[in-house]
Amino acid sequence: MFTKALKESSYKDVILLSGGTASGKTEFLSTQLSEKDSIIFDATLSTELGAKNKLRQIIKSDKNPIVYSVIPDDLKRAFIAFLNRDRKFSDAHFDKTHSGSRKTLLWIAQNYSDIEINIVESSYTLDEKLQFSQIQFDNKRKLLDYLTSKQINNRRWYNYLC
Amino acid sequence: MQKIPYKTDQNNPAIRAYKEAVKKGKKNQHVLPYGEKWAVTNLASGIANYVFNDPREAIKHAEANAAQGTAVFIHGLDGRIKERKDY
Repeated sequence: MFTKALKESSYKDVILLSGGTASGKTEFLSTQLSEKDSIIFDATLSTELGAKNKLRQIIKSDKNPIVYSVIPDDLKRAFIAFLNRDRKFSDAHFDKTHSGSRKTLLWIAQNYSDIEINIVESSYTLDEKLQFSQIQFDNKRKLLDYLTSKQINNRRWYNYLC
Repeated sequence: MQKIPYKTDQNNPAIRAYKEAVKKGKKNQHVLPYGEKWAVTNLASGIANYVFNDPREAIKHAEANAAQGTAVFIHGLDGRIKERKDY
């Protein structure tokens, strides 16, 4: 389907979504990206190999890849949404997609200097509204520092539960 | 670093579904290892609501207090979910 869209669509831009399960990607797409004249691929980008293949296909099709990564400010909230929504997946899937997508995003930023990377934070307001904010960086170094600080390993976040 | 908020339509079906999942999920109970003991928590509060020496007692407590339409998640020593019970 992805290959078919690249072949048949006249759109020049291809948006690749990145982020762990229940991070808010689909919600962001639905409210902020759906009107864009782009091919949109709603994925997690949780492996470098998968991302590399996608990027290669896009570039080979003479199109412009743009990454939107949705990172929740609170993994607990995403985990709660995940458990109530994605019953077919194990909690290992949650860990894998969140840690993998962050690792892949850092890898893309380090290896593809020309690709536009947009970092979007999903959060809750005090009155429990789901909101998105674009995080802007003064330079590439700051983006890389941010992505490095967001790496998660060994269920470190789990320790915050109680 | 600067955060620029997007205007987000809270009535969008996807947004509503997400918020509903979080709202419902906060009512679920989790039985988790808590140091040498076992805690019952809803995760959202970030605190152990009840603490037991024996995991069986923690499970019994969570099950006895499970409201209709909620779930009890029983975690193992590694923190992974071992069992889900729907009510």
